[in-house]
Amino acid sequence: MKHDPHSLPPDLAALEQGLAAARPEPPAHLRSQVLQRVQWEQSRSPRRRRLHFAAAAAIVLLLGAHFGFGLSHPQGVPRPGLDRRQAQAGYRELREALPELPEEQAWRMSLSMAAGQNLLPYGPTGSARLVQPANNPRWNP
Amino acid sequence: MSEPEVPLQLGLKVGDPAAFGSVYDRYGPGLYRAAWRMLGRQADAEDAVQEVFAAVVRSRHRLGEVEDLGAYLFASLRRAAQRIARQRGREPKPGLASDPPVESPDGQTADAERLWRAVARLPAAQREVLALKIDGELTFMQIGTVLGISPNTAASRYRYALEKLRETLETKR
Repeated sequence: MKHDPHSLPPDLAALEQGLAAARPEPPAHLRSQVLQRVQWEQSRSPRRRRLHFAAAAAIVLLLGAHFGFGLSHPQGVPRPGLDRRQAQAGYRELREALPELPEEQAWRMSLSMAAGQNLLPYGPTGSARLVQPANNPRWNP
Repeated sequence: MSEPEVPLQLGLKVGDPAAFGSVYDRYGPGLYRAAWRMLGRQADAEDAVQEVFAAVVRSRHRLGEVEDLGAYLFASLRRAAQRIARQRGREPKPGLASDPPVESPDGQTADAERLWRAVARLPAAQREVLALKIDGELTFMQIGTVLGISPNTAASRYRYALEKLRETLETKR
């Protein structure tokens, strides 16, 4: 005889039977409540589909409008380049003032100073020249 | 998918009210009993069963992929029960309530009521497997599908649950 791995000893089987015997029956009204709920959900489904479609269409329209506006109004941020001559001048000044400063560090500092001179706040649509002060004071150690 | 359930699933898919009625007649009582055992309250069990059928309506376009309608409905019941327990503020996530309110069916004998209360005191995972096997009348294969475990694990969890229940009843004597 083949052994059933799921078979229970007699005491557990009796307990199982006791549990099965104590099962409650659903109330009579539950069937009609469930079927009413099904009907309600079914009537709601087409409305939900229409709402989802409208929401998706609105999102596509908004994204399209935003993209179109972006194309017609370019808002590039100007990136001022680094003035190499200014950096070299700064390097020479640094080496003169601080001869013990290592060469690499002097270069790094002069490059940072040259780049920092151009870091002035301006709006994304404006030109750097419009807001840059005429007399931009150079850093002078 | 078992043969007799194919037309039933097709009926659900097209929203045929008679198919919903037949599915309720076949699975409704088991779903209700399992929900009561999981949630501990009759009113919550009724809500959970309604939620299962509402979920079937909402996802009926996917019913073609369902292989075992019974396991599918009980998996949906499990999610509904977890949601209801969470809404009632009784659930230590992510399982079901570990200490649900105990509301036993009316008109039970003293022994049956004692048994009912002892089951309610079992750990959530064990109570859940008892509910699916005894109240839902699922096979271990189906229970495995519902809980995402192997049929053998479902069988041993069920056995542990019965042993724990026996211990609880013996210590209460």
